[in-house]
Amino acid sequence: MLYAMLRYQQEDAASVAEVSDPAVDAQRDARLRALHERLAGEGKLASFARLMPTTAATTVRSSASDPVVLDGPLADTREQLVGIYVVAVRGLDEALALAHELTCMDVGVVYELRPMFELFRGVTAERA
Amino acid sequence: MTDATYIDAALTVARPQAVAALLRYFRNLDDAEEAFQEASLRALSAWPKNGPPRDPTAWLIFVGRNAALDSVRRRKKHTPLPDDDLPTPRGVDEEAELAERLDGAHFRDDLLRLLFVCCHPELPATQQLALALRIVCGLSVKQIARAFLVTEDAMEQRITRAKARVASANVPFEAPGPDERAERLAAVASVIYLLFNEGYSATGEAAGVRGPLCEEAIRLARLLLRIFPSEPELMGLLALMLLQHSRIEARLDASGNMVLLDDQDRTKWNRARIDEGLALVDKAARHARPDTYQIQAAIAAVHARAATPADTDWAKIDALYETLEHVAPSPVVTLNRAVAVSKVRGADAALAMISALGERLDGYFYFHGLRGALLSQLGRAREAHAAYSRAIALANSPAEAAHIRTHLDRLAAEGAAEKPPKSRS
Repeated sequence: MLYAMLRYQQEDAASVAEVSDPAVDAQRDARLRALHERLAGEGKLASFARLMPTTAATTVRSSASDPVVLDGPLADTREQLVGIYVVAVRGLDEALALAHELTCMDVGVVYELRPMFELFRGVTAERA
Repeated sequence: MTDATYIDAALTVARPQAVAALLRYFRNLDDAEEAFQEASLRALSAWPKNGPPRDPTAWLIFVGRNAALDSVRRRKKHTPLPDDDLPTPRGVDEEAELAERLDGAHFRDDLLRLLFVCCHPELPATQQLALALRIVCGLSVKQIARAFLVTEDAMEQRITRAKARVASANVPFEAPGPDERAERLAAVASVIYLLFNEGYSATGEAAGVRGPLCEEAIRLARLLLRIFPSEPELMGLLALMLLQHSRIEARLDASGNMVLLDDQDRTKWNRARIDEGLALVDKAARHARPDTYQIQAAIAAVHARAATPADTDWAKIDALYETLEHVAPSPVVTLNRAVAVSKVRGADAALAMISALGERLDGYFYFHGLRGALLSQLGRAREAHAAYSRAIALANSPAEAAHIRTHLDRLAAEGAAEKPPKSRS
């Protein structure tokens, strides 16, 4: 069984804590890395990535005519999170073109494009 | 995260929005600040006992407002009221409803008003920065005094004067119109960048105490961009600061002297900040409304993408500086463009480009430094020597002078190697 574990936190609280106590933060990072290594060793961790702040996000919403592009994260909560693509592109333009293509296939679909830092690449899906 | 660090972080994060809402309520910086202070004290005792509230900002606004009203009432009656007289939000629903009532549609404009009050154009820059750091960021007077190398008393006075001045400036409390909002945003953005530069331009021992100013500026810009998500100017500002700040570990040597871009160890550049900066440059570009922050950010992005100095896309930098010359013409911009031009079209073209600037930049260290470098590349050693000497005379720091000195020494060594110096009387 594959589980996506979606991490939620107040993003600016996280960044303030990092700045206010780098030592504590480094300690936590080391513990987290050890956990990742352990899970990967057990063949359980597919990948872990930290997302950039929501201020770096762009949202694409399907519409009758052209998809609508909005700055910022998905603000509405009418939709539920139903899928994730991780794509390697040169920049926002290419990601937007992809999102256009995808939103045109369905009605009522939103893609929030959120750049991320990939932190850990573990086992592949086939193995899980 | 421990209780104490969690509460500390939560208070820091909630502060701008909470003080902004309290300012709308009390229409006076001192009262708003005091109310927030009181709420923070109560949070320190209440949160470890009852657990943190779901919405710390709403809790602080509510408790702060009531505490302040309570103290007004107390002062009027001259009779102390018991502490438990104060209503605190009981449940999640009440809290949420409260946040709605307190903030509602005002959320954005509250925060912008608070920032604008602190960055008021009538205040001198030193007061704007002190006020923003004290009121919005919540730095202590001691911390701010340290960052600006003045005594605590002097900083306290500076802040008091600034408060008195904004109180008499009468910033309107009605929701601003679109033009006014844009004006306020621009004023606030420029003070945020000023704050960033206070931290960024520090060298030597000052770098340690001023470094956090960069973080505060970045935090404020993120905060603003979150509430004004479609402003390319803010995206550019945040991108510019992130890209510049990404080099913080590489741009000073062990003794605190500036290391030139070409000589920096690029493995010390912070990838996370670079990537976020690049993403924001992309976002801003989509709006096709370039301004100085965005263009400067785009230039910083070109440097950030280059793994080594030799990989730098100078043609792109040249083009970006050309755009910047149109948007914000200045001799310094042309001077910077000339560096790119020298890499793309040669020292000759660059020299021609800056020849007209001599009159206006005659007292500018970098002008003579660049001129010396270009002349030296063209083999005009004697003129290069004169330009470098002029630069040394104008150096702003021993490090700058030392840097030019190495060029002069090399020039002398090359001259000696190529042809023996003719004796001159």
